[in-house]
Amino acid sequence: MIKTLKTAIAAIGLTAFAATAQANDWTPPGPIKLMIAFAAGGGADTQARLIADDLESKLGWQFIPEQVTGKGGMNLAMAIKDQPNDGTVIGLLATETLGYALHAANVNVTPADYTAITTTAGFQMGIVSLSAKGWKSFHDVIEGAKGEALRFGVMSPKLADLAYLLGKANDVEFNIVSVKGGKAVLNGLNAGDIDLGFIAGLQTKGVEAGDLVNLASALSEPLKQTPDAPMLADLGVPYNADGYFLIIGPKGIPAEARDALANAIGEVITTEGTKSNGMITKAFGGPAVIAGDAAQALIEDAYSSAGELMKVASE
Amino acid sequence: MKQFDRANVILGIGFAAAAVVIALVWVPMDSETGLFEKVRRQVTIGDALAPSVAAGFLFLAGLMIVVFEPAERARSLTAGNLRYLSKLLLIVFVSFALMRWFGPVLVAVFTDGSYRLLRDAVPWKYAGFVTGGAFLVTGLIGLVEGRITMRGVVIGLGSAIVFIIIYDLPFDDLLLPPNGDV
Repeated sequence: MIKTLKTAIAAIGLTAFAATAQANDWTPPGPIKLMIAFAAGGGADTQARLIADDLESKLGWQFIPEQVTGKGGMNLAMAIKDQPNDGTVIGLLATETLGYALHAANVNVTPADYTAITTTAGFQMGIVSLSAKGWKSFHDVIEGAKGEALRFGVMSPKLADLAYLLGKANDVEFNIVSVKGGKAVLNGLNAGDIDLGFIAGLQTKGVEAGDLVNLASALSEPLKQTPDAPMLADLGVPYNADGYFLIIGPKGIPAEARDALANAIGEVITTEGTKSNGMITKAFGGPAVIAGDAAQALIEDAYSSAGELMKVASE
Repeated sequence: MKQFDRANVILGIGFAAAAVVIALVWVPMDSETGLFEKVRRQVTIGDALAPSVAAGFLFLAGLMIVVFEPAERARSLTAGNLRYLSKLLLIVFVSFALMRWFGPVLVAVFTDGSYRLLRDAVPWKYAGFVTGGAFLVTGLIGLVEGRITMRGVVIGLGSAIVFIIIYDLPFDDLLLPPNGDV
């Protein structure tokens, strides 16, 4: 299924590429409101602001960034849905928001109510602990968890489901602690409040320095930094936390505007030497651009597959 | 002059009634979840909890003002008080209306474009803030002094301009009211 989806995405991507020439003619009719679903000063926020900065210098477009945080991006999703769809209002959130979070919210809104513009970077989502714990891999965690209920930090309901299934599949019980964002998980680890947790990129420096360890990859593929760490599928959980940062707009943005925005953003984040490229490469392991119809297919798939995970995690 | 000797009764009942409206009308309309929310096996605090608790305190405070204020210490309420309050509310209302709508009206009269697209362009972006802000300050000074003076107008205009210098000029990404909401 995933393979078919990836082929479809690639095919749609090529078609979208053909529209590039036409999209280059579009310019925003006014300043672009850039809603950001992440807290000011964090990695995702910095990324959004640097993309805006790069586009301002390169194309002279004007951006007005605005924080619309809360509820795992759902506050942004609900706010942007009814904004003007002429390409002057866009927002940065995570694909999980329009997948799992939108599904769970049950608010009669679907990915069809949005225009997916482009992804910017993928999450390097790992299950992380302090090296001082002595665990080398997730298998050691399972041994450790047999004696006591380990505290497992998560930053979204989807990750809570995955942590729950991980425990269930390995016959151990985790005490799942929900916190706000990867930074909070990291702080929790450092303070000794939690034993392990999901972190999506912020762990890179700590792992590099030897203070933290990537116990497992929460993705459908190995982590770039720790390719030997087992994946969720190896640990008995056939689901993953694959995800991207995604720029969206309200439903019905004309294809010309959508593609112009996608091309412009894609170009600055993949051009070496731009501020956004430097930051994305450092924090998220490099840009990942899935644009237009392919991005729309990505969120629609995330939305429909979320239902299955919820059902399994409710059993 | 007509007066009502137990102003605390009106004030207390007013607050209690406002609390009921907040808890039963405003909070349900403006929050997406209930008092508590169960998300995937975990019970968390819902959107409605904090404002509902606040409304509860407001209700209690209203009742306390009605019940515990001794009659001999209660203030009286005169028609003059109400006139003053009406003027105050009118000034605030007109100021906010000017702040929100003066810019869009100017744009509609003098250009073919929409105010939203010009919300960060000079002079349009300052139109509402300057007129509304100046009206508010000048109006409040006038209300307190009982007359409108040139000095009040200058202070009103000056304060709006000072706010622009402090909050708008140094920052590229900040918008003054009402431009973030248009």
